[in-house]
Amino acid sequence: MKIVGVTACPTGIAHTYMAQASLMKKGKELGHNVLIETQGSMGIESELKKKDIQEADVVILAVGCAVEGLERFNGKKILKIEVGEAISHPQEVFDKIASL
Amino acid sequence: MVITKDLVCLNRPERTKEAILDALCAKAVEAGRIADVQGYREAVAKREEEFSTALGYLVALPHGQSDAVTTPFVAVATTSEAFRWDDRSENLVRLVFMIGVPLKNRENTHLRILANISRKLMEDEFREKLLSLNDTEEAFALLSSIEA
Repeated sequence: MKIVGVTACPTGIAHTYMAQASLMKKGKELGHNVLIETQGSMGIESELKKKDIQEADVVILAVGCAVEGLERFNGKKILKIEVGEAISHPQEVFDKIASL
Repeated sequence: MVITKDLVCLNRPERTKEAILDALCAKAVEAGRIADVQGYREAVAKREEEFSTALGYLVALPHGQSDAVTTPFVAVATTSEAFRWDDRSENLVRLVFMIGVPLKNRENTHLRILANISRKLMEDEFREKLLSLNDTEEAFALLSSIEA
């Protein structure tokens, strides 16, 4: 599957990036193509390309605060989770995706 | 440098969140990274209230953004035994990365290092290696390799 997502947390210093690494690691293990944009202390990084969003089967939003650019995902299948869940239980996140 | 050798301590005897934060704060003060311990601790406590920074993998990343911090830093401790971080979860902790970032004078270079460290912590081999070390010098060398 092709999956895109955004991670963000209130301070944007640590968990935004842990969640990104966690989702990309587990996604790779499971054979998915996962791209994660971070919205943290350094602003938006690894910004998702329009084409990647278009091609994505699912959008993961692992966010604990307001994020920018949600309108990009209009009409997409979206899984919204807590940032902590992306870090602590990535397998469950992908199980949820499979059952969307 | 975000991490310096004097901010790393291994096999600590502490068994509670408050005790290990006290120990790491003492290190950070000695290293000249925190001007106002109380102000910094309040920022850390506020962040923990939002949600626990112990999210499994034996890791906790308490962090505070406050001008009580003079220079961005990470203080790192391993404890000799795993302990329960707080009452919010069953998550045990043996690896504590205590992060401080000032609100003013933030530089992306420092923030990038913190992001890289956070990502690195999701790698099993990295955590296992760090937990296996007994020599501060070796631990510091391992941690420094991320900053680069």
